[in-house]
Amino acid sequence: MATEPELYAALTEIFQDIFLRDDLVLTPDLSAKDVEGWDSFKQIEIILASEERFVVKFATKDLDALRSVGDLVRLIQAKSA
Amino acid sequence: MQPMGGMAARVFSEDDQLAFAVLSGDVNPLHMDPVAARRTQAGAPVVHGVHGLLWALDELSAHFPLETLSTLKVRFERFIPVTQPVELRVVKATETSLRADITLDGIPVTLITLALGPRSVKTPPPHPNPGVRVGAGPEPVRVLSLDQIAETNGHIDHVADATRIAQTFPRLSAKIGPSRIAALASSSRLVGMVCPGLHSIFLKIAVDLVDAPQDHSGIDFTVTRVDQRFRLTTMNIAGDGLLGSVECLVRMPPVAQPAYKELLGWVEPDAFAATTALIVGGSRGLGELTAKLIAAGGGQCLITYAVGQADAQAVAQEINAGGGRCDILPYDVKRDAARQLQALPTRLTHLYYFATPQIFRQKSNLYSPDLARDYLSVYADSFYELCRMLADKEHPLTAFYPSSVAVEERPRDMTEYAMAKSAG
Repeated sequence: MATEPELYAALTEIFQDIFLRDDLVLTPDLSAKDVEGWDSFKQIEIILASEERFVVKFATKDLDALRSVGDLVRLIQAKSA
Repeated sequence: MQPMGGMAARVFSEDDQLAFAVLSGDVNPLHMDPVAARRTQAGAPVVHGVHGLLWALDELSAHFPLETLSTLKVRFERFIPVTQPVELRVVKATETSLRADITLDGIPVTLITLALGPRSVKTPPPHPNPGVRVGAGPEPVRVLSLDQIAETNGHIDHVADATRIAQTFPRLSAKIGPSRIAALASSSRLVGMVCPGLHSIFLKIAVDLVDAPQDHSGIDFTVTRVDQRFRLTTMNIAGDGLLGSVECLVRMPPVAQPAYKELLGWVEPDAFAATTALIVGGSRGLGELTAKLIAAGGGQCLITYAVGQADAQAVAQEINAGGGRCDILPYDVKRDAARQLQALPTRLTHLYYFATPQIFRQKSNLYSPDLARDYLSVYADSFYELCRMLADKEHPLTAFYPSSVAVEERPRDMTEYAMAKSAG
């Protein structure tokens, strides 16, 4: 299973690709209100790209509780365990 | 090395819409029918995403070496309403790549990423034995369920010939060839007309430009993923020098109101026997439902429409055929009420005000005074003018003005709507 720094590194690549921003730095508290253009479509893109990258599948109820990047990291860790 | 920033501007007109529909074969109502489009997430006819893309690539062809274009990745992030001005801007350009956006009111609506360099040596997959074969002639738009989509593959012939393509996009045609442009146009037809068809929104296309020979024209397509949670579909496409994938949303169809006869059992036959109601915006949605319920309760309805005459006629016909009483009247709340409503019956008892402009709109700033004024003109000014006019003529009159959860919850980017709705 990937370490937390590895997860953040991989998610950074995903976010930078989705938002087309090389300067995007992920922190646990980062959320939709902090990133311009992070709307519901972008959220779906993040979810799908994360599922593909980490070979996991999220249930709809898991997604409802996602509020920040830290939440996403914890969810990936839980699904990968 | 090359020009940066704003490069070109354009307004896509209704004639442009028609021209691209003829070229591509994509006549999805989202692009072509104002009445149907207002019942979609777009709210009004919008430019074909691929049309915007091809315009942008044609402009970029004048400044960049697109003859070496090897990979094209595009995201259709937001709609481009017809008649709204858009700009093409170059975000970043290097010897091997190019980033450009189409923007509307400063907001990126189409994100374009190009790779420049040697083309891929990938070979297209074998021509499938298609379940769906779409010829070059006109075909009706298909309506596929998510389960049907999952089983779909096929082949689409191009509608336009090379000459017309070259006339429409001359600079791009000289750089990448008319066949590839035809294939891109056919990807619009694939999504908008074939799979998913009617209830679709094109989100992304990512293709390599390949030089492999091909023994047939057109594009092959195969659905590779259907995500039921998000109603997303991914398809591989191959043909005429393109190899890659498209992604689209299978949007929810417009909500259909219950039939009048179904509602007859929901209310007492004389519940609204003393009601003569003017229902503004009664041709669809809650206005339609209100008209049916009042008529089912023995009331008399007069429903108004601004653009949806056929919808209004259908509602009235359904009610009248079921034994109710309903008439229609054209009324645009942004124009003088007294002049338009001269033919009102004299014994009006109720006003139901369901008039609404397009609610979800794109904007670049936290607050747009123009947008607020537009909403206020409908929800406050026109409502007040109508009430005053009717109060002068009819007394007493009961007016119903629907609230909105947006007033309490104030969703992101809906400040102006919430303010105006509250003011009304």
